[in-house]
Amino acid sequence: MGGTDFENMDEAGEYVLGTLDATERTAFEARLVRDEALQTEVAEWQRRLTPLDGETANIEPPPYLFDRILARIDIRPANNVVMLTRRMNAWRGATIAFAALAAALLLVVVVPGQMAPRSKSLYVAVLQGSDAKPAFVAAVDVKTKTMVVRRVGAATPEGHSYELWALGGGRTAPQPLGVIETALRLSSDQLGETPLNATTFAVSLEPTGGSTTGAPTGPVLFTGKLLQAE
Amino acid sequence: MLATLLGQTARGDRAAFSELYDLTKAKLFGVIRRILTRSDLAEEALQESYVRIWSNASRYDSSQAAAMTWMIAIARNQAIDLKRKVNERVAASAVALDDVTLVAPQANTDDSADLRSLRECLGGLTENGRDMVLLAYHQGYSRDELSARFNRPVATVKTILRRSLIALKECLDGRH
Repeated sequence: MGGTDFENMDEAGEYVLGTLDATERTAFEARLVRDEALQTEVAEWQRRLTPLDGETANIEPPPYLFDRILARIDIRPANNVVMLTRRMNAWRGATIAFAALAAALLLVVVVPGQMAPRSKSLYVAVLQGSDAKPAFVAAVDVKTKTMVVRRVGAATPEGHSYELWALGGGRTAPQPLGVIETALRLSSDQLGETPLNATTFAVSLEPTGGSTTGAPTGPVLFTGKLLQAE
Repeated sequence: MLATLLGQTARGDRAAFSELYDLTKAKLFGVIRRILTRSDLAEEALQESYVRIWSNASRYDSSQAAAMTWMIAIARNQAIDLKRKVNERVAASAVALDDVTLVAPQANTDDSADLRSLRECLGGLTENGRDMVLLAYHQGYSRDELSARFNRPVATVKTILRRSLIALKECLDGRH
């Protein structure tokens, strides 16, 4: 192992310098992910060489670049609705894959103690963020006219609230449904006459108490499409 | 300052991310532009760098690296990866070997102490070794490109680079 370690240490310098060939670079990065000593060695080399950046002239990037970056990370400030639509499409595939999980979670999370018979009246959604982990689960039962959204992911960051919105189904703007602490119970009448299987839920990060403008003001962190439970 | 903004960015704070961008974009773009001379590629690399900074901000460890060093490392990686990808596509087309400004070995008084040390240690390398290290770091030269430029076999370039890095490390670490 000793020899390999020394080779790794030498490679760390060349990795930071950028002179490893493509194969070596890929192999090195694969080791880097799980080798903390190697990560430290890479950080050391970055620290040794970064003074050279001090003599590199600053160059202003073109002004349109930041908008492109925001579009890539899905937090467009100017037009949340456009962004939501794009996000909704992007996550549709993943959400469908989670339908089975949603159905399973429902039994445990939404209706503990009362094993709901499988019913065509039940719609579920799993809201996910960019890491694809379920953050909220939602269930709408049209028979009992109830709707429950429950947080299953990370707690609300301090000084903020998570706010729920409904989109799609002919809505021209996100419809505010309220702030979610750990769970939010509503009448499904609130969703109006819109077809449920065309509705997507989204959760945005807002100041404590929720948005005061009637529209999402913070980043939309989680979305999930409502699907009929089978 | 930058570390605080990175921490806020990790929690999804868009205003902090925007401020972080404003404070660092010109340095990162300067670093990238030396490696990628085509402006469309440089813009692509800058964009991808900030996407990575956004999504990896929670992995930033202030005990391991200064925030700027961490961000520059991301930008250099993006630029080098893109340069290699493009070079593969246009392998045959001659890359103009341009006017490089190589660091003079003597130190300037208005430089940071770290840069002075680094320059002095670079000054202790062989001329080829020093030029290769600087061309690789600043302009993203691969071993193949260095081999062509210095008219040396690739294996020799690798040996020179390794020796230079070992000497650099010993010199710099001996100063702390």
